[in-house]
Amino acid sequence: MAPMKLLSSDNVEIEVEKEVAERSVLIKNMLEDVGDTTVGAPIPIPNVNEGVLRKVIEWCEHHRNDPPQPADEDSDSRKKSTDIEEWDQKFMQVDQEMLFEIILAANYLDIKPLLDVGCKTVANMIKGKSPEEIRKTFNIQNDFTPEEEDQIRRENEWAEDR
Amino acid sequence: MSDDRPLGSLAEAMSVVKLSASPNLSCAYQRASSSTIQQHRPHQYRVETNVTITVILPTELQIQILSYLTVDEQVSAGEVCSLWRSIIFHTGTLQAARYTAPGDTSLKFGLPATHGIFDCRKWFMCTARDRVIQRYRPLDPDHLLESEQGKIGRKQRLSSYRAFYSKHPAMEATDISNSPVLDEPFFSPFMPMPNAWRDVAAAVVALDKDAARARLSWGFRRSDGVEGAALEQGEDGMIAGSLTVKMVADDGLMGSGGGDDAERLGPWLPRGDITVREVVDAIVGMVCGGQHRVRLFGSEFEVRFGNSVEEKRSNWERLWTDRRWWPTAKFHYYLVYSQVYKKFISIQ
Repeated sequence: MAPMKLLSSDNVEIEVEKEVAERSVLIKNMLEDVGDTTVGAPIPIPNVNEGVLRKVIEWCEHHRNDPPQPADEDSDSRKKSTDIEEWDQKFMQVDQEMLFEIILAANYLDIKPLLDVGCKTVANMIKGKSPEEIRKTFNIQNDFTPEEEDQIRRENEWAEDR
Repeated sequence: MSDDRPLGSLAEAMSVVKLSASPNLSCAYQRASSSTIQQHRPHQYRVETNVTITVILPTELQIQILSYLTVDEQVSAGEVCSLWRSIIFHTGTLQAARYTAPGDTSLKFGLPATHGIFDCRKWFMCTARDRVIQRYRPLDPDHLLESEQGKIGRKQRLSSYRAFYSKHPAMEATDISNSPVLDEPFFSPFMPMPNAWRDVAAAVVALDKDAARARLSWGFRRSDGVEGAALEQGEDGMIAGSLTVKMVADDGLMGSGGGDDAERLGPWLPRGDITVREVVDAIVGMVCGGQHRVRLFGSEFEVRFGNSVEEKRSNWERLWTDRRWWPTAKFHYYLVYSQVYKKFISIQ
């Protein structure tokens, strides 16, 4: 279990086991290209700050023994399940800013399973909501003009019991 | 000179941007200056408001997120903002995901992949009041899928519906008359499809033999004498090859009786260029206009309804008065039916 160091964007060194860090395909490839890392030279991760990097490492540590994902991925997104295992659900209970940061970091570091979990978490926040509820949840500006809005969506009182 | 035009239109575009952006900017400025701390860091305000999914995440990640949504949820999300609208309706991967998936039974039986909005398992429901097409929230698709796979039984399913509807406000109707989803091709442009009517008919016969629970529901006769039949949905909610679209009409006409039953149409004569809207329009004409002859896919169909109008009336009357049904999953159908029914009665 060789230890190695990562350097966050805010210049904080974080020690991590090589095996754990290699959940990131980016780091794994980097290590393969560079060959044996000289001990003490941290790998800079310029896009990820300390807080997010620690969170990502926490995920990698928990999932260090996961079997590799099947390469043949089901492209049928309509049946894509948004089920998330319990530990991951708890892990993703963070504020939206952190959630997006984790997704960005997983994308940058090329940790596909973490990216999937992040995207599923966001998708689950969208599911079952009306457009207005979605806007509120994510603080999205309704940028349609009133005319467009009127065209797109007419609230309908007819369905209500009266 | 022709060179002036792009410049001119660019300048125009810029002024439009400026105009529409200025209220926000002045608002940002006022907010920033109201706080002495922020006065020296005007970008602080921007940082606050930009913690938004649409700004932070690159488009390809937003596409990945939106790809986890069902067709119905995609339609909802497409009404959120213009970026999501364009992502949802102009991204190939998302559009492909709106069609019957590979491996689905319809393909097994050689039938063409059709638009997912007609997928009965999503329980898409629309009405056609004043020819406005509305979408209702579907039942929880996850639970439907689970019950389909036999993971949960009927009782459990009903209680999970109840739980679902206590969490989410049911009965939200949205006008989707202008949704781009209706202008998408009815048959998947991503899949090959059988080109002969005969293939489809043969597939339906095979389906009827194989699927023990699928029954013939009603038939139609095309103007050229070809007869076809639609299949009834099995108890497990699986229906292969035929389309299920639930339509409720102003005049109270609906395909078959209440309950789980719904209008059943199909199989259709495949024609590649038909849109979802054309199909919905035809159904509107049939169930809402009470037309017994429908022109669709370049052919005329004669439609025979299973139930008489009288039967439908008594069904709806019973459903409306029997409130024991209300807490069940069927509640939202019944409520819609009953509204139609009440209207129907008042016309009489």
